[in-house]
Amino acid sequence: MSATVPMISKAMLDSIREDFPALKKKRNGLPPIYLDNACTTLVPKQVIDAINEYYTTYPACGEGRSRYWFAEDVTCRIEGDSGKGIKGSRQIIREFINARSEKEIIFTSNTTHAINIVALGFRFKPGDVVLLTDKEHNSNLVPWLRLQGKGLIKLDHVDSTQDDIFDLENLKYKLANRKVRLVSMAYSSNLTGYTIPAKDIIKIAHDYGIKVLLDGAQTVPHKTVDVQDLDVDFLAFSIHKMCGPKGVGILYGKREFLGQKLHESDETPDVIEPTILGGGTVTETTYDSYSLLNPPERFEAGIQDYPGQIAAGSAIEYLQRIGMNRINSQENQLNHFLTEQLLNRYGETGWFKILGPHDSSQRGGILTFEIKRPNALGIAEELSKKSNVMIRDGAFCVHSFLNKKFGQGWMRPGLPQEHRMLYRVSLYFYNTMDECQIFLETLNEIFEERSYV
Amino acid sequence: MDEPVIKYYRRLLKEGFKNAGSLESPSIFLDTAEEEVSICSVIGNYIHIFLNVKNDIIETIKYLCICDPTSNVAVEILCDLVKDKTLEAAATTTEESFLEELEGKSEELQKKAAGLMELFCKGLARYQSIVPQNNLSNNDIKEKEARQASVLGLI
Ligand SMILES: Cc1ncc(COP(=O)(O)O)c(C=O)c1O
Repeated sequence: MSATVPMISKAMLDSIREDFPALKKKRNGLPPIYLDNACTTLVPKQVIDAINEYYTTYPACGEGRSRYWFAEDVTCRIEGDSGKGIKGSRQIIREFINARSEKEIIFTSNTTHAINIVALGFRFKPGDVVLLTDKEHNSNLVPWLRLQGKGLIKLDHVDSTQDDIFDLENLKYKLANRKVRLVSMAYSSNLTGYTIPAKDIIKIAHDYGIKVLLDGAQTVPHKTVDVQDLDVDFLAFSIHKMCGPKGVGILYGKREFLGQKLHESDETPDVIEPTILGGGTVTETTYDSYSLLNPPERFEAGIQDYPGQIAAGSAIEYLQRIGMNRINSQENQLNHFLTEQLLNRYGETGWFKILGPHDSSQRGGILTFEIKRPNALGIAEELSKKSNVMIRDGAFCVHSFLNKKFGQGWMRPGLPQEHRMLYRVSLYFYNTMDECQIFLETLNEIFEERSYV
Repeated sequence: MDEPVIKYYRRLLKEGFKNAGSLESPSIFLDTAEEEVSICSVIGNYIHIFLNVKNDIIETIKYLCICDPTSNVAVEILCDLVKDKTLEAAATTTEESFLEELEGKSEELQKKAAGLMELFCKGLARYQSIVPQNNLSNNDIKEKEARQASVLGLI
């Protein structure tokens, strides 16, 4: 590992862990070992305090809807107030991803919602193709499948290479030969942790005049993402995967694609239409018409999750204090250790396989492994029962790829000898080497009980 | 896993899962997902049981599963316990008989045994209420499976 990458020191890690109330819980005298961070992360007290502060101190609406004390307190925590020296969470998020303007930051309820805003608002023409990777989370597949089902678009995907990395040549081929209108791809896979070469992909797509949406759910929480440097057109991510509250996500969109006219019909075909309209999205209405507010408000319909939006700012400031490089480096170090240990122990068995590239530095904080042994199910449950180790099993919402890889119905009843199951360990900066060690020991104990080893 | 279950399971691994398999046109087809019986607490963990009944006697019983070892031990024991019994006698199988067969105590296995017997009795009641019935065709079973896949919500 490069000496220039700052690590999280033992003292710092101890102090970080003090911030997470959930880590202080015990069951059967043992602490929790939370390794399902790709699903959602734990929440530090700074974020919980921000939520509490909202409900106890100014539990009113925001967005400048009302001009009174509580509402001003809410609005300035979201939109900022330079006079009072308060940075709003929208600005914190803008700076975090280096967007040009706060107008480009739309609050959503999660990544899924953000992707749907683009899918439903994009002005597709018949025959337009949307290009995905081969391992999309259902949240970046189903919205497109529905449009395809309605005959509005066609879907295609870029298969990975034999080594399970992104195939730029295949991308170029598809862009040159298919009528691609939008590339919509998981920046990092929640199945393998592999991060696609987004900057190259965007450059190539733009050369063809094609826009790019990145599903950053598994990237933005783990490394610095600079939307201007990437030149990405849309970026979706979830705050609950980065120490923030559940129910808040972000859609970043380049200003020129979010609209500026009072009526959708006056916008250019490049602009996405807001698909959910109502209170908070319009400047005024008559019995026959409405005039839209500018972005981001036109995309934020109805009363919002104000405590969540405020706490989103606190979560990001929390990550910034630790430093994204340190976060990345801690995850890499732990993943390197786990990968090495697991491969040393079981790499030669033939029934244990790591999904994605073997090189852990290409998988961020994610380590998914396949176990092809009789009754391969129930290991996550056993880990939890024995040592409070929490990992995920199943298909991780990537059924499409796994059905292709293992054959449809691979999770249906069959002969015990034919079972296989996938397990995913996903790390975050507060995880420790000791936790990884306990996971490894408990896993081995389970394997021994089952006579796998 | 509890010790007696580990011991039993290792024997299965060594000697084979002798009751595993399926039947072409079973008299009774039982399905944990469809009956919403929680034998296996893990999502995506489920069992199909196929029975052929002749003159009220369980002639053959087979199962397919995607489940953890304890559930698998429980269903193997169930098959051993009810085979060659009349339906009436099979329905009275107790959790204790599972433990006797296991030759040890296991709360976890006992829970699974209770779930399996609930499933078994539900299927039996349905069978007895509609006898004589046509045996299920493979297509019927496939259709059921397809329906269950969507119910399972495998995530
Ligand atoms: C790659 C990816 N995309 C999208 C999502 C959906 O995120 P959310 O449930 O926050 O909408 C996830 C969640 O795990 C994910 O990993």
